[in-house]
Amino acid sequence: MSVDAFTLAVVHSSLIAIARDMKIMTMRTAYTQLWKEQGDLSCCLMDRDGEIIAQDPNGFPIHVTTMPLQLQGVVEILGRENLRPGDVLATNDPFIGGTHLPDVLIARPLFHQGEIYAYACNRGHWADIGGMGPGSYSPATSDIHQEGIFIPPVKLFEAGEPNPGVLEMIMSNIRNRSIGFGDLRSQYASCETAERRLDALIERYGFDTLTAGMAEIITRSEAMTRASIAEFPDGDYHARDCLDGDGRTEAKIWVDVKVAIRGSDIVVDLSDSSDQATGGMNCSYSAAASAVQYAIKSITDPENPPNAGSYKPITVKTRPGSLVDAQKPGSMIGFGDVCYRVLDATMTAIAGAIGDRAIASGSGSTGTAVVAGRQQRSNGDHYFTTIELSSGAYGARASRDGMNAIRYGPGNAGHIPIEADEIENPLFFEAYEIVPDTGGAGQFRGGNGFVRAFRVMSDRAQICLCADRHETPPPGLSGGQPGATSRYVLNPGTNHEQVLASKTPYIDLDADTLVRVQSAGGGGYGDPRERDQSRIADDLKNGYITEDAAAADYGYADKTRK
Amino acid sequence: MADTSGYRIGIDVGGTFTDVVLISNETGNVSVAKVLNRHDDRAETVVSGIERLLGEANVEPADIDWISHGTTITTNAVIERKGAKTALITNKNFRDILEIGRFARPAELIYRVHEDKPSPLVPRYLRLGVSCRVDRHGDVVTELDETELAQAIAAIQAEGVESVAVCFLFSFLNPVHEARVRESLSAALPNLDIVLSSEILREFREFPRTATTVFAAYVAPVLRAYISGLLARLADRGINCPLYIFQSNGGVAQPEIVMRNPALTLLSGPAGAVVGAAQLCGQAGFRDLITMDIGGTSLDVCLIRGSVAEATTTREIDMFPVGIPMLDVHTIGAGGGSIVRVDDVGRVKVGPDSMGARPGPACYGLGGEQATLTDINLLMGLLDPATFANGEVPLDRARAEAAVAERVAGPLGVDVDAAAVGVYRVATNQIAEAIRTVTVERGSDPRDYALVAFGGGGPLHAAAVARELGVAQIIVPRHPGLFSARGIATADFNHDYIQSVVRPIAEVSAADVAAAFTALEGQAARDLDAEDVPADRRELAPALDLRYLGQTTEITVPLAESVADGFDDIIGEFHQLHERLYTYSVPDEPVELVNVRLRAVGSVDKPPLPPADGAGETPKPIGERPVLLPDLEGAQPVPVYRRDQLAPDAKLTGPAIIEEASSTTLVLANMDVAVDRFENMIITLRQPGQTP
Repeated sequence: MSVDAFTLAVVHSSLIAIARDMKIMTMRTAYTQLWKEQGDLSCCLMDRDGEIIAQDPNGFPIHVTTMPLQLQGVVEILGRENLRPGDVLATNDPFIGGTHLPDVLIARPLFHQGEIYAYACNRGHWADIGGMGPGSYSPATSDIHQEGIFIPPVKLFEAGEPNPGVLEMIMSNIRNRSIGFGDLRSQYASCETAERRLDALIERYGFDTLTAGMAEIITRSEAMTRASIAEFPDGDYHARDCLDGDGRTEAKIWVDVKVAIRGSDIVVDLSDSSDQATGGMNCSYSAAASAVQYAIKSITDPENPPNAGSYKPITVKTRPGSLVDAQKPGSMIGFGDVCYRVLDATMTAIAGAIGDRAIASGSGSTGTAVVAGRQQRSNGDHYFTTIELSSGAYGARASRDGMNAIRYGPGNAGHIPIEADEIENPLFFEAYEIVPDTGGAGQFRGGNGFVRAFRVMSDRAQICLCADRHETPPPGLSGGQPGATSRYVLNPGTNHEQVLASKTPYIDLDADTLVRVQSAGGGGYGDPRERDQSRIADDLKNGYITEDAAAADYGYADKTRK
Repeated sequence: MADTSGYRIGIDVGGTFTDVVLISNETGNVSVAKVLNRHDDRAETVVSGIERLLGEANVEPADIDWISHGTTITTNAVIERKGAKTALITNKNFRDILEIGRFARPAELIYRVHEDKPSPLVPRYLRLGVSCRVDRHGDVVTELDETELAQAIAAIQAEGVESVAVCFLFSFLNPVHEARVRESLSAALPNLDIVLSSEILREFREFPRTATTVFAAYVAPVLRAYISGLLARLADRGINCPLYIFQSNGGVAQPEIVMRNPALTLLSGPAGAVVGAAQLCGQAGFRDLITMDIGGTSLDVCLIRGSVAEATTTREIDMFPVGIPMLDVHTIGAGGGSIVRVDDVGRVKVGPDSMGARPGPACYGLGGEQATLTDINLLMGLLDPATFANGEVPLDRARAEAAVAERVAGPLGVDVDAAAVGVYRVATNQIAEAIRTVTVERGSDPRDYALVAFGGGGPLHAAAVARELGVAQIIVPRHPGLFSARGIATADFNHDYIQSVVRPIAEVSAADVAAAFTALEGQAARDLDAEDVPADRRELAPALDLRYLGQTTEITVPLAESVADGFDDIIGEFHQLHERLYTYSVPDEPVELVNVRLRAVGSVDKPPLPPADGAGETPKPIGERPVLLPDLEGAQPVPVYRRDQLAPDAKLTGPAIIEEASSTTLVLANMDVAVDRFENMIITLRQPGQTP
């Protein structure tokens, strides 16, 4: 059946509202700071084939667009015919299309008259999934089993009843089980609420209208994206960019992107990227494709809500066994940073085709710094885990400076408020501010990065870094300068100062160690000599650049001083 | 308190118009005036509205004994970036908390990589760090550096700063350094406005606290100048009664109390009408209500349970959080001026952008070329082109038709009528979706509530929305367009006090909590004393903010009885509320006490609500016109009534259109209208199979 334009608008906005409210509800009831403060989870509704219909507007692109392949894998492995109303499915298997083990997908199949017609899905980054160290984030993992507990597709609930054996198996393999239980509860409660609201939609509009509307949502988005791609000149574009090391060795590893635009189709070929890393700096095909999809969506149809249709004109090719299509038993813990590099290289390659929609590379890393261990609190001796995300700045754009100290790219986790961090964790902050001169110079300046510096007040704490842009800076575009590199230092300015590599497996920290993490800056856009004098003066006045940099990068002499 | 012989005035300053109501304390008679805003002189707009009313009602200035004033002047100052030149003092090395915010992008920007966040109200060169530090226990670990403070003060002086926000880490536990900054600043610069975070938001999380403090500082000089200017003008005209300011929490307060935290006014705009709805519908016997207020640019929805509007403490303005007690009004961009469009692949959108009042909808003929919701309503036959807004804005049907044909019907390949009905359905769904957000998503069933429709556009859409939600009754009050000023005129005093605790409740003694309440009660008593509220008019509502230990969002649980016997009862209440809000509870998990809260209400004499005489006559329509009803094919003749001809006890059945100066009500088939003795229209939806 066909659905008229008005009913379509009605159904579409209702579905997005449901997905949005799923995330709000999960954040309100969650226990881990990663969710309640940092929002590191995403929700969406998928159709019977496991295609995205509606995603929560605050969802992370990298979470959402990796869900379809993973869900399709779950359904295939468990068998569609074995799914029942009231089932809650779970997995963290990256090889069927996920991200890394800490990201756990919870999905509820939704039935109408005995047939599955949709899935409510909630994927959250668990603060711990077991493995080599608390926070489960060592880049030196040489196989997936070191990352943590591998949850194959399972039913956490069967026909509404919990599966205690499976739940206990998972909870026994993670640190801080009470947080795990609380978080899991908030994840599946949100799926239940979504189911009730979809039932109400069926009652209102009829099942056939709803499912026809779902199909139409995808069709229209595809048409919109194709129309936009068709405006780009046909051609072949190429760029490559690298990561500092693979987690176990320091040798650079490369992401190679070839973009072919033909009419309304884009083919992005990553096949010439480096071989699979020996450490954790790999990603699945699904995650690499997700980064490409984010890049294309942001330059073709940024105004409209994304869904499966937004990505149909995009074909992503990879070589199995490369770092962007890792095979068992490779670790993918650092998938986020690999995806940032896929994004950067894709944007750099396609810049020649898209004119003023181009954007220079941002700070280009998740900047993950896990500080974890045990601490004594009034109610006992506990694990603590805090994930300090230390990377964020926009690259400059064709008519605007890059934004300072803000997340860019397919992830969107926020910071823990300092006061919340100090209340829950044995940390004491000494600095949290923007660092001048870290954005690349240009006619438009790259965004400045920031610093977070804190003392670790526990003598049983460890740090691990799974980050990047420490050796190779984010490049500028069209004559813009690169941004500054990132920097990770213990006890800066003392005689036991220690500079850490961007990939540092768990190391012990002495009590009162000062940890300083500093983000890379974004790349600049255009020739710095073309920069408007008033912008330089404004940057100087506000301390976004120093006088030395104004002179060196822009040849600027402050006329009001001598 | 009000002398019953005089008059009270309520003022509601909106984006385009200022509404003024004059109410006799003795008879309850209401007169109203709507004045076009003079943006160069807002106080003069208000005073001219008052003078007009006094003249029309033949009331002497000296007989005015009470003025309650709702204003959006602070909100506009923020949105237009026309507030004071403001500096921010923070801990050294933490001055960018305001700019970095949550670090994550707001949802609107995730794919829009070419757009920026709004710029902070304080530019970086006026964000000044001073060394000092309090830790998470409230202990001072670094004393305040007086030399750095002196440097900051010198910079503030040199830059000609008018207002200063001060926010240090953990100042909600120990405000000593913030107090010290105020002491030095006010000694050096006595005319400066100074706002301390520890005095306006005593809660953890530095970004919302900093942002709220900055908002307060940024608007303080604006609000002060406005109030003093207004008082002087009123005095010139012989009006010397007290002036009270309406706050976002739905109550009024003395200007001196509001000036302690001017951010309290920032979200007061939509609250007046909610308070009015709770009062007037309460008198008519309705205590559980969903309010639906549709103006030119937005829809505001709020839930009222047991005559009390739901409250919240967080909202955003321009992507910056405002942490103040406020009514939980959910706003979406769907109003009369909302733009209706079809994108390149045939998707229909209503809002959120609006044409506002100028140039406004295409049918206004003021140069607006976009199709808007008002154009749609006109084409459906819901609005009378000649009598809209009392005939002050003649509507041009041909322009509406051209805009809808070109921008909606044409691209979709349907005729204009089909486009109009279709868009009306889309708008109905958006409104219903907003109501679901404040009901279903928070554990309430909309079918348990009556829908109150007001604002110019509310009564046009209420019938269709009620049908979609399964709501059984709709109330359309008299003068729905002036509801807000009336609510403000009769609002009670309302103050909120809070003390942060953030400890597992098992570790807190009942005596500690009692002591906290005693301290808050002392503050409440001082404020209510200052407002001359007699003891028998004071009501204190204590509550605890609780959550499961480890969660981050708390639930405010009213405290029915003393906690002297322990916390078992209130913890039980908390589990139940958690279950209602989030579908589950975990009774064996530890609970954390986050805040001790006290709301102090000083109830104000309410003018009587005079019942009108009713003859129970069946009203006669003034005519009929073809209307495209949303659930029928093609235009149907629908009888049109004048609201002012509907006396109490009047009854009629839908479909019908009822017109009055400030609004038009659409009643659909299978709905019965009865006018109650307060002249409210009560619209009842028949159940399937039910006959009148």
